[in-house]
Amino acid sequence: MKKELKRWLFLIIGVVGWAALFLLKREDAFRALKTAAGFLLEMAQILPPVTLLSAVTAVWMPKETVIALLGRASGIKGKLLSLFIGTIAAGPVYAAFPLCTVLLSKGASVSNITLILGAWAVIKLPMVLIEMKYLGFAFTGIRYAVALPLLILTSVLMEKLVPQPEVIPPVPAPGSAGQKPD
Amino acid sequence: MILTIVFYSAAGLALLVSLLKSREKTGKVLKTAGRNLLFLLPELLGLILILSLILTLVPGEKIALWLGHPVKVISTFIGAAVGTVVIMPGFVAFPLAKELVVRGAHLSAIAAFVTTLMMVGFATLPLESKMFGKKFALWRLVLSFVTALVTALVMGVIL
Repeated sequence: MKKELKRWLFLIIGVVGWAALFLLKREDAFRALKTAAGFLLEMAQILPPVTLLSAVTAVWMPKETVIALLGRASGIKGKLLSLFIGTIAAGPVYAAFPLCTVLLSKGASVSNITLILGAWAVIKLPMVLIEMKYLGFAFTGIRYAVALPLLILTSVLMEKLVPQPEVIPPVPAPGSAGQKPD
Repeated sequence: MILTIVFYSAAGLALLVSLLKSREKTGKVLKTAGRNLLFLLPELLGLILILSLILTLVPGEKIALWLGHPVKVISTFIGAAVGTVVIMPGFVAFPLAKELVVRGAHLSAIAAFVTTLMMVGFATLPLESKMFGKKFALWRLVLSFVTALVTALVMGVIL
């Protein structure tokens, strides 16, 4: 019950805040509406297909394949694949969460998951062009060149700091392998 | 845009292949996907509502003032801190960053700001802890913060 309430807490606060804004400052509310629409569009572009692809992975992809591709022994190939997955992705990093929990539950390593999340957030292809447009070529290029090695370093550190068994939450995320088949 | 089409086509194709191979398993795929989406949705919608409120109500001049602190290192720290608390999509973040530069923010502070903005956020921390465990989420937050700071400071030296 408490958990259920917590899940809805953000939404309740948001709705109350919006109601207040609409009553008190109507013009600001319309500006906020425009921002919210942008957020929603961004989410709609990526979340449904990625969730579907994660579900396909959860149901069809054999554990052995994930372990071979992204497991602890996957080496440089695993790192490159993680970077690739993160780079071609678009949209906010939370869209990667369902995919990453599925991969984790099937044996992907903590470091590769961290790398997917990091690349997803930082080296997004569609974002490169926008960043260059607004902040210039030098800024963008140097930011990527400096951040990339640090992302890899972070992913290696994460493996040491957070041992595998401690990562997957006690209650398996929906769609992960720990769930009873239905 | 192109990527959106690619993603939707890939998802559609995967679903089609799944359907051709096994009806039963495809049902399971749809059930899993639907459940995942419903699991994420209330929190994400709430997040969107709250963030768009904050972005509307906090004036850009104020942020520019913080990020243009006379001591570059301090403004870089502030940039990373602000970027860590909020999470923002790129299409909002980059135009805002440009505006902040025009108003006098340091480039290294902007670098810290945009890097942390998209990488981690207190806003998504509850969701991330729930899905990956608290330890994972917290360490990722800390390390991403450091990554962003180091990137920004290096950029401050180069640019």
